Amino acid sequence: MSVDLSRFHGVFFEESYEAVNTIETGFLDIDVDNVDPEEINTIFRAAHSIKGGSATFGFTQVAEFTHVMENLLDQIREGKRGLNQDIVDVLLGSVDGLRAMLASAKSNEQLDQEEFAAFIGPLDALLDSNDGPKPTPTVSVTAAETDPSGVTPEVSEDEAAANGETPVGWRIVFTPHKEMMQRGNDPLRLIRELAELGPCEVESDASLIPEWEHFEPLNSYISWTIRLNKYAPRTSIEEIFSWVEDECDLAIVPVLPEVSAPEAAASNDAAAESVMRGQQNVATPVPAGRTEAENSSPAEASPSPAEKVTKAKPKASSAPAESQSIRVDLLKVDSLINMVGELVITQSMLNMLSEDEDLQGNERLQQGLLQLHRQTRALQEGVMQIRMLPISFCFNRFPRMVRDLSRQLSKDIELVMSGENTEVDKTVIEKITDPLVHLVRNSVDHGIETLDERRAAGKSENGTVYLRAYHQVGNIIIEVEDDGKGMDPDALTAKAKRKGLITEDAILTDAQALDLVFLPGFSTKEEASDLSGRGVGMDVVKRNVQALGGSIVLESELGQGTRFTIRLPLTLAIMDGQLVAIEDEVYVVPLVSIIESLQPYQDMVNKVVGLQETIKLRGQYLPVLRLAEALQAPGADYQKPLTEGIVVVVEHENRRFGLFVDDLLSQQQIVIKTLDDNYRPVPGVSGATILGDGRVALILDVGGLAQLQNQADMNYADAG
Amino acid sequence: MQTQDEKQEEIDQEAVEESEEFLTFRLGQEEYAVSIMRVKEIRAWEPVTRVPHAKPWECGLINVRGAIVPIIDLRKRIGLADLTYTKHTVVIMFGLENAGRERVQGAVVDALTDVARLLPSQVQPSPQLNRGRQVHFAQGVVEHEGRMIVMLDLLKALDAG
Repeated sequence: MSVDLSRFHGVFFEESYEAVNTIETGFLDIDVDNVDPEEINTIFRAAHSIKGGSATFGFTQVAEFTHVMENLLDQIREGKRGLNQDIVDVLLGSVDGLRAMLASAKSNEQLDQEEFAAFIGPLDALLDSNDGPKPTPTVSVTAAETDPSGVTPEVSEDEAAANGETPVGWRIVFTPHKEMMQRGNDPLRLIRELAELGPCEVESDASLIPEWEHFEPLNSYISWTIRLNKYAPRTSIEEIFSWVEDECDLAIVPVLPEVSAPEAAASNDAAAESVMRGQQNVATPVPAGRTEAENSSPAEASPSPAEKVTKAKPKASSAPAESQSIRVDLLKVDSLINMVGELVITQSMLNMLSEDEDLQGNERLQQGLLQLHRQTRALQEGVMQIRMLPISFCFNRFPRMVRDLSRQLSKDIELVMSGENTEVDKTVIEKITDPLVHLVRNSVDHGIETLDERRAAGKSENGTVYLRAYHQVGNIIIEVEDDGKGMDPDALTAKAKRKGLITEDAILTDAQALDLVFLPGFSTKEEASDLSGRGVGMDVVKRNVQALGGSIVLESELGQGTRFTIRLPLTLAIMDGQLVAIEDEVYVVPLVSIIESLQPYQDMVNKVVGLQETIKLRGQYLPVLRLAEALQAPGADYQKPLTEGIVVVVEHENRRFGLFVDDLLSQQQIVIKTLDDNYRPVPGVSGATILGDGRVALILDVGGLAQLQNQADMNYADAG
Repeated sequence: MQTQDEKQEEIDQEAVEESEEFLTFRLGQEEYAVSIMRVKEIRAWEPVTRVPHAKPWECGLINVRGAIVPIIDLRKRIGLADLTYTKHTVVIMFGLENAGRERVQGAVVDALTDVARLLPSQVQPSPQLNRGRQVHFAQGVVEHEGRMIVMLDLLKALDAG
């Protein structure tokens, strides 16, 4: 049987991981003092769907575990158990447990009993701790499959008809008998208690108040219609009225979520029918006493199993329709992207051929080619879009992380995220997640001060970490900001000197001093902590970001906070490039790095101590790197006067310098190919592309060139 | 595809089951062989894109149906003198399995000579030649139709080992 099912495992695991995420997000969003029943329901449904799937596939640990979770959730949902932070902690812990179990189930293993016990123990303990209401007598799915005695199908169907939807509230018609107040019961107190369950709309009917001469002050004449706009278990309402159940007429009617008229009618019919059949039905107004009696009757199995089924099922079947998405193997998408890449190359090749003079006159051909150009671009963009995912795929983990860390550190930290829907290439998301985790962790651990420090600094006790994502001209910008203590450039400089990372006499600007954090072997905290880093962090973060073709900038204001800004290309597959010529070779400079290009005048050109050539541009001296020399172009004149070529001013990590080339060619969108597939990485080169004529052109890595240049300078200095 | 007759003919030959097909080519005065299983295609020489800081025998990169593929000059690799490329100059594209995926590399040779069935058991250790460099890239020598053919150590020659 498992052989037959195994091909569905992939889908099961994907869906289960999604459900686990839903559970986690649900608990993180929950406000323990004001629980929204719909939130609990969402979590419940997610847990239930994992339970169902895992039981089907025979992952008994997962099934058993989710079953216990479900019981606990059910109690919370029914109001039999309050919710507090500790319970949420235990449940969040169980999310980790679920992940671990799913992971081992994926590799066809099971957690060993100890591990499993460690995860399920706290849940069981919670369940047992409740001495009041017994855990709902649900039967686990595994057992239910073989022995469905727990619930008779008939009951569940009826329940399903009546309870197809969870009530979003209750309408309570409360008509005290005349003598009620004389027996010491105050109707207003009851209504106040009711209001504690959730927001209430109360209408009073005073039509029965008699003429003044017949009025008895001790009699109650007024009746109320109370609309409780929040789900609460029926029992908790009945409890409020339990003292007066013989002294009033009470009707409690569930208010269902807005449903279309026919459905509502149908459910009413069903309700009526089940009443006729003499079965207890919560949807019909019945005297409170009777309902209670029946609820507690042992003959009636708890309605929860049936409820679970009915609630989970419609959701599950409607979910695919809502999201309108399909799962596609990434390899298929990638091969599609590759083919489109080829098409783009062929298209630019045709374009080049059409520039032939013989063809210039053929207007229809030219028009057709223009159309082809537009269509290929549109196709390319569309295909690239398939790989784009909202960055929330990466951001989702942070609320939990910040919450856990700040509790661990006894700090009060709020995480404010924005731009979660910003779309970015899947690969970028995968590769940026670890660096971001590191940055956020750093902000929580090092950035935000302790409560005492914050109080002493006159700041609000709760710190804030901001995580933002947004688009900016072909890039995605991700910012990690905190309102913590900030960094002191002088302290950083001093420390770098102490560690011998810079020379004793180095004079650094503030920006340069902040940049020191990215040096290997630099840790801003004197003592390493469990949480973040022993100084192996920031340089790795920077390397990862650069490997993605991005850059990272650190800004910090002492006492005010720190902000990391990561700039990444939207996709790793295409980019805008400026073609430049060095002798007869063509190279691509990424357009994002280019500030401007110019042909220098003689009086702009300088040489510092006969070594570093510079040009003076608007009062600023920019070092110039001769690309011909850096790339060892054969036959090129390494002494060519700068005035006879073009200087392309580029920026890398806030530093600007010039690249000296012979000529500027066209600007075009290029498909990035890696060299690593068949060759090896080349210093100063980030990849290659295929030009319109089918030839390969190398894409220059501006940051790498800057380093090459630095090394060359140092070698020169050493030699000198 | 072989015809039935050809197959029969081969089966008649002795020890045919053990023989393997090798592509043979010329570098200078010598003939070399590589297993045909490693050969993906033969291309004519075409201009390459030079790579900065490359090794002397690395010619550069070409575009093979959208893939960027490096080309080396086998003559230079084994230490022979430069030769001007002509229209007969060919590039053998090799596919090398590496860590579960295939890397494609091209090598320029003077000319192709043959596809030969050789018996691996007949490969002899390389004779001690004075030109040590060539021996370095030889797995051994084998005699074929009266000629001596050097079995090329492809992984070593392509720096893929």
